[in-house]
Amino acid sequence: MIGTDQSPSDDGLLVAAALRDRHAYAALVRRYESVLGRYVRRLLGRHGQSTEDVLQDIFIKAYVNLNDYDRSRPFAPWIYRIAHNEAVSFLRKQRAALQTINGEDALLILERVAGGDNPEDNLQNSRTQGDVRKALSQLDQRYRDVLVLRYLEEKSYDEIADILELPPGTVATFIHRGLKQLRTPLRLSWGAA
Amino acid sequence: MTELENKVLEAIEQQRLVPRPYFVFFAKRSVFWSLTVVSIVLGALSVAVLLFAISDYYATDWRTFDNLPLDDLIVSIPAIWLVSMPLFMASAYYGVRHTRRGYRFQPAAIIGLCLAASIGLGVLFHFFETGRLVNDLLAANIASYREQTDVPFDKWSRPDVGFLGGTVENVDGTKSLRLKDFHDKEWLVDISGAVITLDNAIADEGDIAIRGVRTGPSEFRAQTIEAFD
Repeated sequence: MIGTDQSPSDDGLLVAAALRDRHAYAALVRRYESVLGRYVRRLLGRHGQSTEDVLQDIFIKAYVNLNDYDRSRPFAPWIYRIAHNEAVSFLRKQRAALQTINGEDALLILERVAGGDNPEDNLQNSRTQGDVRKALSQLDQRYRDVLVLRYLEEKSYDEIADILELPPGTVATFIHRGLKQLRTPLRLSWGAA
Repeated sequence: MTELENKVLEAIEQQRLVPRPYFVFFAKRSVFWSLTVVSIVLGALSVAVLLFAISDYYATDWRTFDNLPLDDLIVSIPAIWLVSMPLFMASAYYGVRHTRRGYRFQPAAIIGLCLAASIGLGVLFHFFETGRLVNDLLAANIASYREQTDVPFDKWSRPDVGFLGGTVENVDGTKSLRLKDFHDKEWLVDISGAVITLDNAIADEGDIAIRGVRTGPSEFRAQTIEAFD
């Protein structure tokens, strides 16, 4: 995130925070609280009430590891990666699986995907959340992760690669396969209706 | 200030947390880079020994690379080094994968590059006879290695088929010499009819390689005598 004339850039805040300026770090927390909160809530699913605690752990962990951040890369993917790992770790402790997509989010993904499709593939026609949720629940976890980051968090392939620690080519492959896997059961269910 | 900001700052203060120094992360990354470099060098040594083993096998049997039957080629390769190559490549991959940006590369690309680096370095090592050095060192000091490999000590430990190697104990003029082979067995070698190709006097040569005929349980008649190296 680049700072405006009124607000310092991430880099400026990070340098100050690494020098133990807690107010600078508080400004970073404020800047990312909302976007990370939304992402973590998606990952936690029915454990969403723990979002605040997980967020706190994320920002504490990020603070302790500030000097591990590669300043030649954007800051957002780095803190998203910590968020992803912390959420996975939290759910592992709860012995729960990653949720990542509820019905509304699922429709949002499909609407955004449909923007680039053929007219006959318009996915906003007479489709129910139930169909979509069912199709999404059948998706492999790795495909769900990349679809959420691409279509809900609106991250670039490069950013997703940094967040999930995957080669960018693999991210592209997962998105392609995820969409393909998502469309197949939907076509079948709507075709039968 | 938001509630979360307060909580985070409070936790940082209460637990007296500070950012870990840069050198901690640098050291951690260095471990993975070192693992990668060491794995590539070990892989290169494997390649160098493999090349040495193959070349030695053919040199020993007076054959050239123009005459390379596949089964002989397979026999000449020491399996221990062949098996160790994938292990070195796996650890090189692990090392690169855990560096700061290692995840951005495809596994096949990482393994391919490490393999290419090992082969390139191994060929270079071969020209400097590093393969021979490593093999001789291991064969001289580790009995199990000597049993597992077929180069070159074992090549010269086949008196029944005309190859005998070892250390000269003493020389009786131009008639005979006493030799201790690589299994510490003593031999009396008739050198009266041998063609000797040595830079030094036999007594000063140390290890020698003899081609000839076995004439008794501990007797051998030499046809040619060369330096072991």
